[in-house]
Amino acid sequence: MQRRNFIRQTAITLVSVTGMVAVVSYLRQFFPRLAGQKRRITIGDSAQFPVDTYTYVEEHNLFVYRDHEGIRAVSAVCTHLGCIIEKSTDGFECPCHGSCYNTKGEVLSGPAPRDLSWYRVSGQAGGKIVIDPGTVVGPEDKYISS
Amino acid sequence: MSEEQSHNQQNVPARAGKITRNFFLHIHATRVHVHSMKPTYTFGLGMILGFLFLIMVFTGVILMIYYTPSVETAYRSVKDIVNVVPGGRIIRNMHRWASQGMVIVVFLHMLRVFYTGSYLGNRSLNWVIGVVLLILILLSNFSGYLLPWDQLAYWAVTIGSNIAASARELTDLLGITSFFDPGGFLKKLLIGGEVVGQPALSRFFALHVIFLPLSTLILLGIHFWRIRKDGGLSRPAKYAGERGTENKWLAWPVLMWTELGILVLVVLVVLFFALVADAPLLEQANPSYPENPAKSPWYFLGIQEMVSYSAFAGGMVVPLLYLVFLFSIPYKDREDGYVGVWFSGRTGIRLVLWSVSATFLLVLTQLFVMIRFGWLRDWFPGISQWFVMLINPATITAAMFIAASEIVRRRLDSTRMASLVLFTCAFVALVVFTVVGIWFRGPNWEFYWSASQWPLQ
Amino acid sequence: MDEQRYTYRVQWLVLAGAALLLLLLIATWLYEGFSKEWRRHQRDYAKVLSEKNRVEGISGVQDLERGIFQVELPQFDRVDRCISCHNGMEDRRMEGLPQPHAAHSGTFLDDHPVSKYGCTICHGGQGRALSVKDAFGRLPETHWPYPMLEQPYIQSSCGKCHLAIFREPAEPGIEPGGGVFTGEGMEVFVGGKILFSREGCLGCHKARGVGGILGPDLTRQGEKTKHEYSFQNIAGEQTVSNWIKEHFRDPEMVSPGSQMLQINLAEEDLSALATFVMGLSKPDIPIDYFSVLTLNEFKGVRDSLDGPTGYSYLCSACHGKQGEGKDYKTYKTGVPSIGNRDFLRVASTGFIRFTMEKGRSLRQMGSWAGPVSGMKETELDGIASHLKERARLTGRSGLSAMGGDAVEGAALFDQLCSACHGKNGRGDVAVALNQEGFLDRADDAFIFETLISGRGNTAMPGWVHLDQSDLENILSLIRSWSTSRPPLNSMDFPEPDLAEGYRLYHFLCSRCHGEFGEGETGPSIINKDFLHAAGNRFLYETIAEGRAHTAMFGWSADVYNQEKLELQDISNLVGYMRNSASNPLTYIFPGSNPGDWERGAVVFKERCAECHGPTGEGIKGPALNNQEFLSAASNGYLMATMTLGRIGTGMPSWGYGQGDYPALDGKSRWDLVAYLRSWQRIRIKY
Repeated sequence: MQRRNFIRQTAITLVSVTGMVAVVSYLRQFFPRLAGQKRRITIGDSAQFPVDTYTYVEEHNLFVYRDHEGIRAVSAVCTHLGCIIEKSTDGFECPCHGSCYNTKGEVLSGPAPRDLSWYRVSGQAGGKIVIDPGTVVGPEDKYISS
Repeated sequence: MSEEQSHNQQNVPARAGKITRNFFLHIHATRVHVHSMKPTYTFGLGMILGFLFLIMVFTGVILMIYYTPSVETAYRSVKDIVNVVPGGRIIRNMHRWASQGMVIVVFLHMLRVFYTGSYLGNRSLNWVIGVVLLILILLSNFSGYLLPWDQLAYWAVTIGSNIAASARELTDLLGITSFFDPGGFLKKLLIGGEVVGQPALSRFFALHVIFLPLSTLILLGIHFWRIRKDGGLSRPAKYAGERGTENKWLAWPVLMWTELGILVLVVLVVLFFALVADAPLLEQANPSYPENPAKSPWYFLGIQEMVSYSAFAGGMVVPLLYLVFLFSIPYKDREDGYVGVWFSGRTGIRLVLWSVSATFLLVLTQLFVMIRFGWLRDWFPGISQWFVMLINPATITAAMFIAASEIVRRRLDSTRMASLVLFTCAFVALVVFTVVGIWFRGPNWEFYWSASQWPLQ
Repeated sequence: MDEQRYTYRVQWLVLAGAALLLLLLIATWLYEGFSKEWRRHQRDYAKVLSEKNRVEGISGVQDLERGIFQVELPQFDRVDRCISCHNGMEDRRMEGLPQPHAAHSGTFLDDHPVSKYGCTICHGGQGRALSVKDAFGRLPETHWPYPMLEQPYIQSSCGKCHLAIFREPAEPGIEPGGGVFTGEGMEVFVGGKILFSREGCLGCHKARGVGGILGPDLTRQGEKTKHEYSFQNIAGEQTVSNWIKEHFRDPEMVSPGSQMLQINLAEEDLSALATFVMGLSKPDIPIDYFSVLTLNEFKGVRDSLDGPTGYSYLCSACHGKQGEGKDYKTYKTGVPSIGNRDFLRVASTGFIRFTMEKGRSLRQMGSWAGPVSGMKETELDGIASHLKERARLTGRSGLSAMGGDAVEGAALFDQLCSACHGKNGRGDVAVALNQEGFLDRADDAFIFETLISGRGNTAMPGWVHLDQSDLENILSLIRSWSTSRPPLNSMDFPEPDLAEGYRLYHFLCSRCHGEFGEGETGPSIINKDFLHAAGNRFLYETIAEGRAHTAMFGWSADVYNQEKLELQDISNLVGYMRNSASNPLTYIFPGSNPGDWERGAVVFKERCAECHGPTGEGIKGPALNNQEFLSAASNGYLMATMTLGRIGTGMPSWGYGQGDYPALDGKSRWDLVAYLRSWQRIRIKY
């Protein structure tokens, strides 16, 4: 009787484990392997960005700001629920729930929990500007271009 | 009494047989209790829901033939349904208005079942199934909302998917998002990525057309079967001792006529709305141009209003608390004596009225303070996000309701009274938040008394 | 309640409900089925058609198909159902009938058949709709971003395929398929294009790769729908055409914070320009729909703009259609008047090209270099030479000192030349002209040429506004200071060795004339204008024998410890100089700087700071401390501008005095130049 019991128990355990593995691997199908959100971006020449202006780069959801000293890039995605923010007279504003940021990307009012992220800007041979959303820097870090 | 009627009175086996020998009809019992047939007891809400579901399925099949779930062609396939398909406009409108009707009626049905104490006794499981059905109906509505792929749909689902990701507020505060991201998990499950696109549309279409209807159908079947098992619709305690055929009518023909009447009325109302009001269809979805204000479907606007205070508290904590509460009602409250009576007597009515007014006062006061004087971040700039997350109208309201119902439970020593208070307060608060979200929030989620005051975009 | 009563009541309810439902269903069926607009129109058309047939005596039984007609255009990703109501559109006989039965106007359908183009690609509107309101798509409740266009804005659709921005509008072209494009029916659009070039919009905006970066790129501006514009400050209807017109009327009011200049156009010009802007697009349709010129422009292959056209397209918006610039009241930092006579005769082509290439930091003048502006080198050169040409008077023939009157010449000399060349040509900040040593080498041609062209990058301007007789008088005066008259230059040199010439120049000449010939204590000699005027004989004699009364000693004299130059050496030297002068521009060297900058600071504070600002940052006058300016302007340029002033602007002539401003002596002027030069921190390379 011991052996029969043992076989019965093992069978049940095995079926349960197999069942769980099957279920988990089935559920795995619902999650696509999507990377590529934080690839480095090349956005052309610094001369293409007017001075003292925040230029919105649509495809990558960020603002590029160029002044006489250099170039910086800030995320245009509101940290509250992911809407695209707009430039206002003294900073940025999110149209969805009214979160307000100053020009440094710091949250002034509204439900946004975090400040905006500034991304590292660097240069490439040929004068192209490269932005790296995978590296977050401070609001004062500029890339000095010639 | 006519010949046929007296004939009917007597021919019991035949009449019973009409029910039991029919595949579709025999989910009904052969006899129904008199009390169950009172219109003022149930208002026929459950049946209305059932027929609305039927309308959804039939109109949905036609729509499904002409609709293409691809981001390039979805919008225009809906336009062609409206323009070209004979009666297409009507079918689409019926589908839309019946779906809105289902959401309203399912809440009314829940109110009815709760306030008549019909989850008491052995009906706990059916109540839980009902709550699950509520969630399925809301999800069906939400998944169908995206399918036309217009500006309304796209941004509503964007907001909805971001609400699903609102756990990120907490994980970001704790700094653990990179290895524990339940918010992202939920969002990815829902829309298959970070932004709403073709994967989201395909998922929602599969959900809306196969998974959710099938689940709803199965659960509906169980829901009806459980009613049979639990002895038919709930009745007050004074009928508790009755057995057999005492105080019961044979289902054939009276119940059939009643159901026919409800069916005709439901179709009439839905068709009427379909004729006079068109389902909205804005411009084609354009990810570059957010609607302002971007609003989720109206039944989620209460949650969206709470989310505007804090993503995690308003989007995860409070709704989850609400759901946990709903599921737990029949297991915490076992005072079976209150079954079948609206508002459970004089005490109950008083408590309910008190809850309604107190809730109005509490929520409206907090809203007034917030709109007129701002909130924590306006008074203490730079304040930690923890405070903003933990102290806002959503959490304060929830905390106060829980406290109030605990106090009632201890004072009156009754779980039924406590759950009356908590349920009423929570529901009224939800309604107030929803109303504010629908009519009083404009661009940038600012408060406006009316849409005519919204600034031009 | 009793079961019977209950059932009875319910049965009544069902009866009433079912009756209502039946009525509603029948009403719905009738409404949705028979009273559709397009059915009505098709019924009417059947009548119209049979009437027409009857009138024209055409027999035969009509068998008009009824239903929804559509043109499927997968190449445009559209389906147009206009022909469901506009049944008679392609039938020539239906001309003049009321809509929707009327035939299409003009001959457009001959080249643009409906089967290949549909309707909405030109007319706008919602092709899939089947009711007038939805098809026109004009009302907000139709939620259609491309409303149907009316005249003249419908002409903007022609631009989608036919617009070649950089080709003269009047020229017809051969279209693919052999048809000739005449531009018929798009007159307003063409008018808008002319305005676009005339008003200089590309000065701030880019279109198809050419233009400035101050404003948004306009290449696809016409594709923008009304949802992409803000109507907050717009009165009147909320349409794209109205927004554009209001924007032209007052850009800053419509878009707060905009730096766009006012352009002041008449009403029909506004409509024309709006029509043009609405036609700027790059539609996503198969390439065989486009004209070849348009396709080429998308790829960056385009006609070259000549100098005046290039100026008109790019510069005229800020610098004015006549180059008049803008004063400080109109525009805060002013816009230089580059068509100004006094500016153009002092500024060398190098100065102009340098400024175009580098722009001016802290000012709106950006870089117009090829990669930034999309302009070709030749086009930029063309604009620069066009500017220089403006100031050039025509009709001057050969010269003769014989015909001149020295007395008149003296008056002119006193008025125009003495501030630099001193009274009676004895020299001051510039070389002495009354020297025998100079005058018996320099022939009339040399002097004449120098007078007219000036000497680029030195302080010698071109005297372009003097007519023939004035020039001859001055020449005559100069000649009167010497008795000899050298023959016209001509001398043959042996083949030069450039490397040897460089060695000689570097070791012998550069100390005085500057390493790059820009001038130091001696004049600028590796100078295009100088070497163009100076013939070989002049150069040989000056190098070999030197110039009396100056520091230039002769290099062929036998002097102890000095390298003696033979003909070959001089040929090498001159060859090197000429070769160097024709090299492409790298730096503009400042040249001689004999002044004392500390003293110059004092003078500046007294005389110049009021307009140019205490640190040269520019208040009512241009900024002088601008690094690009200082790298482009040689000391000669500074000296000349200071001395002559600039007619028609606020810059007085400090060499001669003007109005309230007394003259400054030569030494003060050199000191000022030194002070300005001291502000230069970097030397920018071309």
